[in-house]
Amino acid sequence: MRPENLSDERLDQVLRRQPRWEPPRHFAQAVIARMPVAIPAPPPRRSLAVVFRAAAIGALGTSLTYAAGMLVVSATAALIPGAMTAAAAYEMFLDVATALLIEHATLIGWISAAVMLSVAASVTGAREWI
Amino acid sequence: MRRCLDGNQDACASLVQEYAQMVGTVIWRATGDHASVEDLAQETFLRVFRGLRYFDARAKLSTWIYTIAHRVAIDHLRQVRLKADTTYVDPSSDVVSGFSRTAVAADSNPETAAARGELDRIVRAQLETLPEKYRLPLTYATLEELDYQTIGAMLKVKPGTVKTLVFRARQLLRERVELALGQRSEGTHAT
Repeated sequence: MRPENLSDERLDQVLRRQPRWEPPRHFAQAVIARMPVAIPAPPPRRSLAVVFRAAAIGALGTSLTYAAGMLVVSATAALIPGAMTAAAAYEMFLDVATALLIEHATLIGWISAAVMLSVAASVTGAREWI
Repeated sequence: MRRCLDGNQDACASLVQEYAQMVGTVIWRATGDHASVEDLAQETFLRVFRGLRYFDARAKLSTWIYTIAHRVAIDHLRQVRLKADTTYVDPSSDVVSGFSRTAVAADSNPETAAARGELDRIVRAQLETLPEKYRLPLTYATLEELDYQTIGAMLKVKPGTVKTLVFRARQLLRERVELALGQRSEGTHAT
């Protein structure tokens, strides 16, 4: 064989002449025998219904809390003498809370994001990923 | 595939049987370690079964399986290199038994057959000296089942890049084989 006679086709022929692997007779069975360990049981499927149900529960909870708060304020104003003072105090509390929120907006933003992420992960079943 | 996912063992066995030869061949050519091929092929299928439920049915199953086989082979190569005690067994070697040879035409002329055997030996020896970056694309490209698209998916490069790598690998290999043949020829003349 002279070096100048070596064409690409010749080279490919040699490379293609390599043998192929033949699986032993019981190869598939050997794999299957190890399979139960390999295949984990599929996790329960989570559908959109789960997400919507969680959202509905959240919305209902928030609405009930708001309604209860409004009811308490109305009842207080109607029943307790000097309730105007309580209402004024409540307004002051809102002012202070708003000021705090504005002052620590970044920190509160991060905390809210972390909480929302955790809630979303637990709802969608991705908790193990975070 | 769906039946296999549902736990039908016969369906899983059929899947193994369908791809076992090609998976083993990919691993053998990539690693050159025939003693480990069966274990590595088993490992490949176990990884396939573990990941089957995440497989995107729109993709080609064979490409996905061969990609896993390639990764298993690469992992094995890295481990072997770490241990640094690798013993490469030429797939064409006669010491390897239990493997089928394909495309080996019987040659009636003993001299031609001997020359061809010598060329085969030199080409395969020089192939092993190529950097992995070139050796693997060229090795895979000589398997009929693997087109550039599939090899690209296995190696995580574009098909065009595979083509370039194969071309460059062929060039490198030919240079080295010609050099080896030249040296051999000079040695013969000297004696």
